[in-house]
Amino acid sequence: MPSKLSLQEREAVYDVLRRYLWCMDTRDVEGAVATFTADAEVKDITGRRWDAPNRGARGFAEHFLLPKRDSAGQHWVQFMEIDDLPDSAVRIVSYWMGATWAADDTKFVNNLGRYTDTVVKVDGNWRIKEKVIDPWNNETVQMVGKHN
Amino acid sequence: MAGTDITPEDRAAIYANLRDYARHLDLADGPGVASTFTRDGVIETTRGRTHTGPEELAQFVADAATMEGFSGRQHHMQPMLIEKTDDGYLVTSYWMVKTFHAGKPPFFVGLGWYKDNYVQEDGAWRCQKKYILQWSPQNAPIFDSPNEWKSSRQLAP
Repeated sequence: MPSKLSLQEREAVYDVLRRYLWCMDTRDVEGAVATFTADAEVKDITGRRWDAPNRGARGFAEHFLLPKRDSAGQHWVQFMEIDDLPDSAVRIVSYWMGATWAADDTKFVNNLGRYTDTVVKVDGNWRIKEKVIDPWNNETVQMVGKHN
Repeated sequence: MAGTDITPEDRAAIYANLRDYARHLDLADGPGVASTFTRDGVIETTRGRTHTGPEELAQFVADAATMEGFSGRQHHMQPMLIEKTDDGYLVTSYWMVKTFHAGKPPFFVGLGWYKDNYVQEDGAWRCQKKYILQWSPQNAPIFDSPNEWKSSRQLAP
């Protein structure tokens, strides 16, 4: 069933998902954490779940953003589905592609994947309550979304 | 981090302008590129060069078109952030340029980002200042790095 979100609300949801990507690509831990609810959980691309005992979204962001790297990357995203959930939450399924500009000046696609985001409104602002990051390749695509 | 106060119509018009810029540029259409800017519109590049007004903007495109391998390029864009300013919006976008030379596989030319100041002129959204910046390891605006400072400096009025 199509989402009943207004166009303005839909764009506001997409804005918080885009801001998450911007903060990940600029390696801004605090900015990334701010796009999540305080109790958010993340399943990363390896299957590890960043829940409360693992410090949730902050544990996830610090794990991936604090180590220094000598390349620069961008996440490109295509929003594929949006569905209404109970309690005014929405679920957005997106394709993503990682692009890298490496220290040796080569540029290439480094990964493909899928996000499944549950987004809720907190104090009038949309925040990510759960992010599931699935790999997308010939060996994993049949399993995407089956063990979230 | 509150949501941006913008109507869907204004957002769509601004994003359409971004696409217009790219399609005119890829076709080496200087006046077309200039038409996406205000009459006093400016492009500033990673190297700090500026191009102001319709004639210089058209010349910027003409110069770019002389670069080896220009023909066959496509600019792909992804708006990332849209933020309210005193007189319009600041739009931050990714760009990715790929090219296709007949007989060879298409390949990446570069990755980068735009910082575009949008204002209304003659009832339409136009870009007043566009920063064209590379997302290379030396220039990507990585948080808490010299690159972040450089980016901020470039965005100073």
